[in-house]
Amino acid sequence: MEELMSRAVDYGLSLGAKYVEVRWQLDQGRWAGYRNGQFEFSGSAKASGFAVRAVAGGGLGFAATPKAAAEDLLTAVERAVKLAKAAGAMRRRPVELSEERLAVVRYELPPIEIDLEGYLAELDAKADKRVSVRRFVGGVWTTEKWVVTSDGANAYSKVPRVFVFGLLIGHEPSKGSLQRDVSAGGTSAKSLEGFDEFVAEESRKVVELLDKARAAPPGRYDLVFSPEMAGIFVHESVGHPFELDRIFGREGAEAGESYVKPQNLAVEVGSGFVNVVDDPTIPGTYGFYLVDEEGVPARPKWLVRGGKAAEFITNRQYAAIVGVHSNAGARASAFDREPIPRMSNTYLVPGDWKPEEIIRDTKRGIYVASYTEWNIDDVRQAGRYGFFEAYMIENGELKEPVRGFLEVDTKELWSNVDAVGKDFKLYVGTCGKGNPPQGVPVTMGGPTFRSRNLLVLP
Amino acid sequence: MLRLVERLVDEAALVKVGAEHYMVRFANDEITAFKTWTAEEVSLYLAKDGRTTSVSFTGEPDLKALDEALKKLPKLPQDPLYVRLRANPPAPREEREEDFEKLADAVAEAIAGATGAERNAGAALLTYVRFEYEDTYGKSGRYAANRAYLTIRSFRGDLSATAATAARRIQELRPREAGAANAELLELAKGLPVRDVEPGRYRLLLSPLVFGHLMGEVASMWLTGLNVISGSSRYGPNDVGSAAASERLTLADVTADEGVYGFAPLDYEGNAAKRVELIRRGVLAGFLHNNKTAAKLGVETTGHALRGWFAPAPGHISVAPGDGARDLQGLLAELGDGYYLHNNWYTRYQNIKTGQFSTVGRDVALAVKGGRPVAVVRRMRIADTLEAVMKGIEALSSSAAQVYWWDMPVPATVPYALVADVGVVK
Repeated sequence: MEELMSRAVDYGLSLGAKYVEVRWQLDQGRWAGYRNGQFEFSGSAKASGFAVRAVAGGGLGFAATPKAAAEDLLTAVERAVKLAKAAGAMRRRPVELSEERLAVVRYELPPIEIDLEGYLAELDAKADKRVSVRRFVGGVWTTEKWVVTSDGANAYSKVPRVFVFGLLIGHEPSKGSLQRDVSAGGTSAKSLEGFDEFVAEESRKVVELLDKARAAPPGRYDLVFSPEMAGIFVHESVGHPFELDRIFGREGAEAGESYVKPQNLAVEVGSGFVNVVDDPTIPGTYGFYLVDEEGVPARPKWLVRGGKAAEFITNRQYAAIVGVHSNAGARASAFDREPIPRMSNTYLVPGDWKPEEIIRDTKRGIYVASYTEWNIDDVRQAGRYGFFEAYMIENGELKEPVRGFLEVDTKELWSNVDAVGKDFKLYVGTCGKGNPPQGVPVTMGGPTFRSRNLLVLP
Repeated sequence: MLRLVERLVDEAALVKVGAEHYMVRFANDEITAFKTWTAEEVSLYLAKDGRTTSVSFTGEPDLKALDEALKKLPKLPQDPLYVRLRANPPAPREEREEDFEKLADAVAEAIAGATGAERNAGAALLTYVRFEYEDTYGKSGRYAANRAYLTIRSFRGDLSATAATAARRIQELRPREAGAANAELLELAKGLPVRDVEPGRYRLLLSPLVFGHLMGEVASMWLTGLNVISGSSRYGPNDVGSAAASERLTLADVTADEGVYGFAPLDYEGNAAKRVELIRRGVLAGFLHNNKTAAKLGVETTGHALRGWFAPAPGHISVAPGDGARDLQGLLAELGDGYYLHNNWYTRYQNIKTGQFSTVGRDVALAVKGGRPVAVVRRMRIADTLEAVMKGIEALSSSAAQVYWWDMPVPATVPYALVADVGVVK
């Protein structure tokens, strides 16, 4: 395999390419589903093939083939080089890549052994049966990648992952309907520990909150957010707009652009309490990797330091545009997808408050534990987050459960932060971007934190 | 492979899907990547004693995975929806692969059409798909088909506009018209004051991109047999025949129509995809089914096992045009007072059963007074239920466009829609 990949790289160079990258990727695993206590589906899937990226004639070409024979790979190389040259003819500025110290490495994690159907049945058994719609879907699979580039990268990895998702809907004609989505995952079976109890607790809350939660009076409140809320906020309003390809407009027609503009990368995002990191190297996490798809060694990226933009998530192409080194942000979801800048494990850095101290210190506010519907505009400024579980805070004490929506601008959310907890938790997700779409495994989280004077509407 | 397993199971079906994809992506009027990728998946469905599973793989047969699946099959729980395969494939259908090199020309034409735009971004995709079905009852079927779409988003200062065109062949795309539509909207919006929307309930004019998106959500989430069975649909089996929408709405799945993006004459169960009226003049007319969901609800399959064996899905939806104006200016005049929403993205649900959702306005949105645009509106979301949108339809334009882009759940042929009393927030 290694010899074939090296030969393919050399062949691309001989065709006039300035850079050639060959990646072999194999994803294989099993998936299953349960619906309202009944088996729904089960199956296995395996997808493998070669991806070739070439820079030639000033353009970027990409070709992928599921076939393993040498002639098919070499044909893919020819196509990638040809397409790169065609693309280059419609560019004003040639594509360049940053120079990097590239990885020559192999790493592998132990496989995950789990009886998937049995586990999903256990989850359903734990769920509160008053929840009328219960759907659980899970997958356990292994991703092998091998990247060889014309400038020296040679990196092999084998990483198993498990992911479980639960959809819980409580429905009573007289009271309405309430939904909670839950998920867990990581690179070992340990990442599912305690998830059954979480399902039990959250399904019970579906029933209770449907019954008890009342609309919060509209107005401005001091909001205390849980680690789950910290996670969705950093992902949507810091991680995505800090992807450098988005800042330079590459995702303009699809996943959107950014409030960070090429002419002003030195943006102030929030108060001095706000620090945000994206770190693929955290062991066990769903977004784990040690070398990216361009062969660059991974490291933590400090996106925001003391409220100010510190660095952006980038691959080699966009690093070259701003004159920095890549921070190993290039990821691809499958063998037939191109590597583009993506998040991994993104979190708000903990501070020094105990979570209960933040609540005790809040006179009139709302504690938001979890969310339902959420969305944000395509430059990642105007966000809306619906509460699943939230409670009024009066004089430092949690009171009755409430429903409502936070409508907030990114700058307002982060500028009003004045207390950050020392607790910490990560939540799993699948991050969407790219065309064709690429869902990649990520986590997001952080500590409990407070942001003052935010607008809550029913 | 069927020969290998036929003595070990009660029945099996094999589906081979091969696809050649070509994509030109562009931004800032430059090609960011020219891509091609080949997809080649073999999927095998296995059933024995009412237990079912599937195995899929790329390239060469994965005998190890097949062996493991056969060993696991007797240990799986019973499939509560199990019914025998009853394939009824249509005649084989072939067509030649399109010339992908015309894609870059289409992109150049779209950009040329967007006069006055400072920069453009987008993508053009050509897919040539080959589909083959075979089962242990000796039934087989196959087809090959092209499909293509192009999206262009044009920017002018802080304003942007998106247009999409979808078809079965590159030459049927309308790239120049797509670019020109963006130019028209940007020109209309140029110089207007910019303001935030005032939350409330308004009369909205929804473009085909927005209306097609929302009807695609309805079809995917509420009108498939599996979601009806699981209870996550707004509708139950007994709701067929009841009022679901304004009588102006007739919504169908037209995946079987030769001319539509996503055309598929055959599904994973070897059945011909049928044209299905889902809502007829406002009345719920039916659901999309595979063999299993159809049997559970006591009807015939509609041939919508389009993505695999376990869940039926729409392939291309269509809304019958109405008698409203044909063009944007005429439609704005019909709107009178309200808002025009040109594009949306990021649709999320408070609750999929009630369909309480919000979706974020994208590109130019216009405040309209007396039939004329008076302001560009930023920060606009629709926040309501899908049912409210369906019931509020007052008029549909007399022409429909075939559209598809990155954030649409299903390709669609849809008109503009005038919808009354829709919830809007910032």
